[in-house]
Amino acid sequence: MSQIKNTVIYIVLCLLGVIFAASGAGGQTSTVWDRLYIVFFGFTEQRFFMDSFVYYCIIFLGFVYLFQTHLSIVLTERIYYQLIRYPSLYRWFWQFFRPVMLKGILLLTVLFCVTIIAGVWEGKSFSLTLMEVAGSSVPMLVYHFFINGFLQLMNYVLISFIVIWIWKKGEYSLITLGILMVLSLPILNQKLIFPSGLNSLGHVGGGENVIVQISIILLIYLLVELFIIYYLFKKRGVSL
Amino acid sequence: MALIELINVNKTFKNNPILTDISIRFEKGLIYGITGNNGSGKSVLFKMICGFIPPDEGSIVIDPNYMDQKAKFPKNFGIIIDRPGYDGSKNGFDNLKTLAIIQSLISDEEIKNAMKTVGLDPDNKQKVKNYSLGMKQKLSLAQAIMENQEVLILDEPFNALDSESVENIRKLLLDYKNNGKTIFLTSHNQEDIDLLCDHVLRIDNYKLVEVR
Repeated sequence: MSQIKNTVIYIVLCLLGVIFAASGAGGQTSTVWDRLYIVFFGFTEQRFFMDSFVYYCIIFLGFVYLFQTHLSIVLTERIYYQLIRYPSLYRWFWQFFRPVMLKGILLLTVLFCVTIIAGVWEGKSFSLTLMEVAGSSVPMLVYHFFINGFLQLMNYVLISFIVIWIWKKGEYSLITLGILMVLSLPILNQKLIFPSGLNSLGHVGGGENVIVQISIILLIYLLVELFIIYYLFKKRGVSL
Repeated sequence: MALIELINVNKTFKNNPILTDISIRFEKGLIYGITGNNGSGKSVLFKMICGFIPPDEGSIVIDPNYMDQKAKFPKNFGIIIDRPGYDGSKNGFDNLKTLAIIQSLISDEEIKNAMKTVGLDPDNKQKVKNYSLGMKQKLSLAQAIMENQEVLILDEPFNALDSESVENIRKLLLDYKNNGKTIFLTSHNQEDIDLLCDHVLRIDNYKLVEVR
């Protein structure tokens, strides 16, 4: 199936989940922020809903799947013709990665806006309170959605980049997605050790410290992944 | 100074030797033919010259006129390596334009001229996925020459071309040489090598041996 068809299917699935509130609980909330919380609840060690988990995987791992497909084509078909026009692999990487970052920001922004608009459409309040999570605030929710959401997305993307750069095989990218999904399961990630599923809005219930801790964990992983990419570029080049 | 100099270059892949102790100087303005069996290391040699993969040992020195400071890849090199890789959902011109934008050195008109030079119609809106193998090969050649590159590294440039196109490309390459460009090419057709190349080298038992 072509990349365009895959992208269209992905966008439709994302929007359907937002508009019809994937967990089914979206309709029972009282503010648009509660609706955002429920739709992107994801999963935590305390609460796990299969539909939220599946919707999370569709949104975030779907994004990575599209990225992997694009990267595989570039690496196997076009890489040399692009590289010879850049002074170095690092410059190429930055040019390649920048649009991915922008697409990540766009994805989060569109999901946020559509969720809020759908909430307003349903007649929910705009009041800056979170009824679903005691002791939490809307700014923290929005911070977690955008900042940790972006950091998590970039973690997924860089991990898949590393895997594909080393093995250059589509099958490995699918295996990576599978491993990421398994690592996302709360039972395996109780201590928030793996950079997987950490942007679930369910973590907002853990308080401000947990949200900041997640940001730091994701940032550390990003730095490690960037270092691995630097090492791969330096030692292996484009591979054989 | 030589355009490219390989000094005691070794390359292995998964502990299997590919190239062993290669030392050679390539001068400007000549056509070099590299021959060897399938899998003998011709593409690896080209990739190392372009800086895409590092040698395990030894060094590859490029004339500083073709290498910016701190750059890893040489500039002004046109290449065909491995396979002609394109976005099948775009037409030929749009594919070339996507690559040309990276450096922004040439106009649309120059892209179209490159396509005409190799025998492609720049106004053809046909998607590349519907191109014949020969047309794809011509598109590869157009991408290698469109920015008026000084050094051409062409792995099997005559693949899938009909005899008339082969003639045209041979003439084109000889014209380029007469204008001072340097060309490296591989071909399984000995006639291409005999007609075009000033020096012929063969990769044999992981060594680069001068044949002519």
